[in-house]
Amino acid sequence: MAGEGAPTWEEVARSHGRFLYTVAYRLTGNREDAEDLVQEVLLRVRRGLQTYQPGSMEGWLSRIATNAFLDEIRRRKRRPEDLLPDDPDWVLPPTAGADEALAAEVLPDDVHAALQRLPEDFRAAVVLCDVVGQSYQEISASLQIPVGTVRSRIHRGRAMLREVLTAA
Amino acid sequence: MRKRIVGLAAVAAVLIGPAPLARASTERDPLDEARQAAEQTPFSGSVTLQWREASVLHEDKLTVKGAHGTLLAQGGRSAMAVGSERLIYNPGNGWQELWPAGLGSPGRPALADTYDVRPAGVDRVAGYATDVVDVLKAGVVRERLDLEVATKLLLRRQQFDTRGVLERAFTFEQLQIGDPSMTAPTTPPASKSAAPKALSAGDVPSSDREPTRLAAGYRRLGAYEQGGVVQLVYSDGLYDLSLFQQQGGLDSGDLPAASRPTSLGGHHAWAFSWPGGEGIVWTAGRNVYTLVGDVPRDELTTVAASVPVQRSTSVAHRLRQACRTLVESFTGGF
Amino acid sequence: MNAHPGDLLSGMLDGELTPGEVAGVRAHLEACPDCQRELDRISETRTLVRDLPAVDPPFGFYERMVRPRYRWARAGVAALAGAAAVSVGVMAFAAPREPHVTPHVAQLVDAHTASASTSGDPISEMTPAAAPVSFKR
Repeated sequence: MAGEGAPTWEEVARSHGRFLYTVAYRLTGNREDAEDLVQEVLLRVRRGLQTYQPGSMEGWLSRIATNAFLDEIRRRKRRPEDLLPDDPDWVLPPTAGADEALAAEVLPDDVHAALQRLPEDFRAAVVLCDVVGQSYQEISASLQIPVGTVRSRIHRGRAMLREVLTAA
Repeated sequence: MRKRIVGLAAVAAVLIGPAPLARASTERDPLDEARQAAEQTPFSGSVTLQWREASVLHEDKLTVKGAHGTLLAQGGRSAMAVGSERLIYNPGNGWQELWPAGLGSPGRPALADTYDVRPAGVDRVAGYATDVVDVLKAGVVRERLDLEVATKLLLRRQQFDTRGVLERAFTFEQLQIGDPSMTAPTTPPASKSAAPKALSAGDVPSSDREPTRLAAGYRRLGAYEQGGVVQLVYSDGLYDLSLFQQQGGLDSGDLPAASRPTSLGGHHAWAFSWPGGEGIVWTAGRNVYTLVGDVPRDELTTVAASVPVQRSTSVAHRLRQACRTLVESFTGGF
Repeated sequence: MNAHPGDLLSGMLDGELTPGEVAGVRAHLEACPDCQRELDRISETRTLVRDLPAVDPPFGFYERMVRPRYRWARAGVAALAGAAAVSVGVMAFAAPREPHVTPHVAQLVDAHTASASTSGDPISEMTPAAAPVSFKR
């Protein structure tokens, strides 16, 4: 059905490659793993292992990327991931003590490094929300978790980021 | 062997400087003389091939013999020339005809149109005295030929790129220029399936897609068709280039194993080398182009860049096509 | 005052709360400076991540995408793919639709060598054909 001038896979990879690479880099933290993750996404897309959902192409690609990322993380860990308790009722106590301010200039590299300090499930939620721009509903579908858990992970992820950035 | 390589490197270094001999350009074509000698002179010997692949200089050893218009070269496989017929033997596949006798030759423009020929003294190769001839393009020595003094048989051929670096060398190590009683190698029966056939100018009219001229003095000499692939042959008088075009997307799984990803005027391309020359594959629009020639890498790239290609449609249109194609591929599930 | 909103603060920043929930949070914030500070800090951090620039792939990325190496384990994926053996060298994104061609480079090189050697010196131009290079992956 390829119409006149239909692009090759290489050209499509070019259209979304930069986006995919950015997501993969923020998830994995390093360039080599980012490339491997993008290749894994392309493989999964080609094999049609996840049926296409109507919606944005980038949203769909992000979903595949995040799942591939988490699959790989779980494969690498010998024990089940040691997660912080995911109880949505647990709230962070407002810090009543010293009001730590962020350094005057926080560089993107610092933020990227701080992101890598997050446990992967929290990192995935924050990346999908703030790097990709998905809604809680989309993230819920991507990660197969309830919306309440999505919100909780994003909030606690941000709080952890803040801690890492102020401690630096 | 190491000594040989060092010797060649020294030769290359000398060539970069100003030519020491007074200019004495002639109309002779040393390669034409060599071709006639090859068709008439019985000989038998062993040859070393040196060829460059990116930064690596490879070496291969083969045997070659010929008599009465028939030549046979043997290495990992065998190649035979009978008059203008060309045959190849692949282990496991038998003999196959690459070029039928009746097809003649695409011919070449006169060497002197683009090149200068200059005598460069004498030397010895495989125990025979040789006349050395330099062939220059735009003032740069591109080939140095050693022709046996008596028979004009080509005993050594060195090819340099535009910077004077050795790209390729063909050298007889052992040679016996024999007596007329030497017999020609037996011509085997060969499968003639899918042999090339010549296309007339009417079949492949001159157009933007099939240019009559390319960069660096290459002119189109002929067009041939084999197995659905059109081959356009270009020459500058010394070298031939073949341009193949195929319609469709590139199945990159079949690219040469040792190909080097590169870029050609913004298009993805893959460069590769083999003992006889250089090649480059690239895609543009909905076509796959392959340009092959017995030339150094820098010259091939220059010429490849001058091949006019189909312009692709706008990015936005292609993106919409991509999304549509993607949706249609995956809705309905796998 | 009602309970500290906790992760509802993020929900509000991301525009994911119902109008009723937003009203409840705002009411709390008016009376709770600690949560107001929390909101400011979370908002600041959220902005830092949102402001992260896109990352350009390194040189050669697109070529590597075309010829993948697949370092990651294929255990899960292989199970899902079943018995179908897929060549890792082929990345035909729209494979069912787009005709792909393969330049059989070895054959093209042979065709070129054959024609070129009829015009020049056959010995030096034909001999390299007998030293085959493996073009196959």
